[in-house]
Amino acid sequence: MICIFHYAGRSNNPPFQKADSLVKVGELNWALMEYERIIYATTDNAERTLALLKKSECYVLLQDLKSAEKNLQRIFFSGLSDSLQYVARYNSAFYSYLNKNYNQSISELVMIDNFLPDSIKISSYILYALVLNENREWDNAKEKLVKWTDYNYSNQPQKRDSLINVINKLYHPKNYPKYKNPEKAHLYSSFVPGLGQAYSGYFADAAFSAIMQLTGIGVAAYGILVAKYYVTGFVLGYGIFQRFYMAGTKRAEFLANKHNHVSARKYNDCIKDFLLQLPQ
Amino acid sequence: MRIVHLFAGLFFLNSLIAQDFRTDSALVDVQTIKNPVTEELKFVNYLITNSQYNDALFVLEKLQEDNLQISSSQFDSIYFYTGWVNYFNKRFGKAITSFEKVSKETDLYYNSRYYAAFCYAYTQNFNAAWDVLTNLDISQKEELKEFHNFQLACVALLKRDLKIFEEYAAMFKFSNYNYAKEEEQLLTYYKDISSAKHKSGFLAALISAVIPGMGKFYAGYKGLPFGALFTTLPLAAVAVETFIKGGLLSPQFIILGSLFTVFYIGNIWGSALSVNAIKKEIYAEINYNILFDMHIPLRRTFE
Repeated sequence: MICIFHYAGRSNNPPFQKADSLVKVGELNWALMEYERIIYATTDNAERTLALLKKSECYVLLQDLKSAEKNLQRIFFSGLSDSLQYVARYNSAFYSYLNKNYNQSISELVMIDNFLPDSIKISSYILYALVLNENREWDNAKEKLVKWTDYNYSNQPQKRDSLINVINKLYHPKNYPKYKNPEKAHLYSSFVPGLGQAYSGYFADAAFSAIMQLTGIGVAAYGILVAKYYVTGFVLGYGIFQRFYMAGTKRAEFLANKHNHVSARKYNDCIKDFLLQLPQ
Repeated sequence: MRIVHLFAGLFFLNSLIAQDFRTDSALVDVQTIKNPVTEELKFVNYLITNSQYNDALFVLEKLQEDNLQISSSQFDSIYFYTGWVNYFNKRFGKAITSFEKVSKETDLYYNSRYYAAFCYAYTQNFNAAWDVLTNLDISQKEELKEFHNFQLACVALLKRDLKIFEEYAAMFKFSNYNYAKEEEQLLTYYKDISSAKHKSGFLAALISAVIPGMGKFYAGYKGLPFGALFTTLPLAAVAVETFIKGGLLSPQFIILGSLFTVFYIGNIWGSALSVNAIKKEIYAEINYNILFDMHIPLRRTFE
């Protein structure tokens, strides 16, 4: 989708011929080793970087994204051309994004943004927006998308304006997921049974928690006031109440976090669907 | 005639010198042609140094599959590197098998034996580790004597053979940078082990029978007893109340009294077991530290 292999055309390069042909016939583990042999033998940093990129591509084919990401961390960026530096950093950011390592991904994208010319860095803005969305930095993500649209559609003002309109609608602050504070949820449930769960939007959970805590109080009241089993009533009633009270406050906090995750996921997935339809 | 002999002599000498030169240049040629196995082994060394263990294993396996002419010393290197990669990947069984294939004729023999001993020790097979070390002849290796002594002391401590440890510890010199600190550490572990008090499971159970949970406190779990106390005591109070109000055969007493009994006996049983459990925990931690201190000097000495 948004992964790029600008270096794919270099496969006719003699040192890469053996490894590339191994990839073609599916001998991926062998290809990994042959790419590493190039890294070992070469004194040219560009060739080394290329081999590392291709090795990571192999890891991706083996569905080992962690190794793909880790492998690219071996790249030395000094002396690389802008285009190769871009591909290396972009792929590194992309693998980090796929591994949900968003801060690492942002740090690579920041380097692209700060040190590479506009003509090169602009292509990274879609990925940048996707990563910023995951970090709930929707205003920054919107800014990147508007810049990307301005740059790519500067000759087609109508298309540019319509795209910017869509972006503005998608990123309208009213559409941002409503954030529930987990600490508040915990606090509410500490004072009123089930209130924290209700605040997080989980009413069935709220009702269950309230009923169980009231049952505890009821058992205590019945034991002490009606059955005259003072100790038994207190111990059993307090035991039930205390268990559900403690669990309720923790559950309220968990549900607030769950709400935040689910709503952010829903919102980001909607934007992701739109972004992946854009021409890269 | 003399002149003819002189010329003949000169010609012979010249041809000898020329032959010598030809031999020298032939030697140079042989040296400049790179041996593919040696080159691959250099590559393997690079791969291991750069933590590319799976690639290294792939090269090593391929080296043995391909029909290359491999000398016995090169085979030793292959076995050693295979053992090393497996050791780094924590596949200690496979590492031991490879290390033990390294022959005595190579310099890697000593490295492989010490690594094999460590792998045995790591897999809790302390007797095998001991056997590997004691069967190793280091009479010709003066520079390894102190290190060897240190390794034996480590295994003796892991075996909890304190007398043997004392013998080896008496020979510690604390002078070699590679393991001077670890020698000191080993003495600390020795003190911890030898000063550990023997605690009775029966006594822990007895204490918990009098004051619920206190047996665990005696065993060494300082936080746990109060949890047990706060669960058992209210249940005891409930059992007493239901007995007073309902009598011995009342369903309230039977249910709640049984509940108390389960907690009470469970707590006593738990206290008896906790003495052994905490001993295992402490020993496991000490063993981990000994293995760590055995391992670091090994890497420092042979890498």
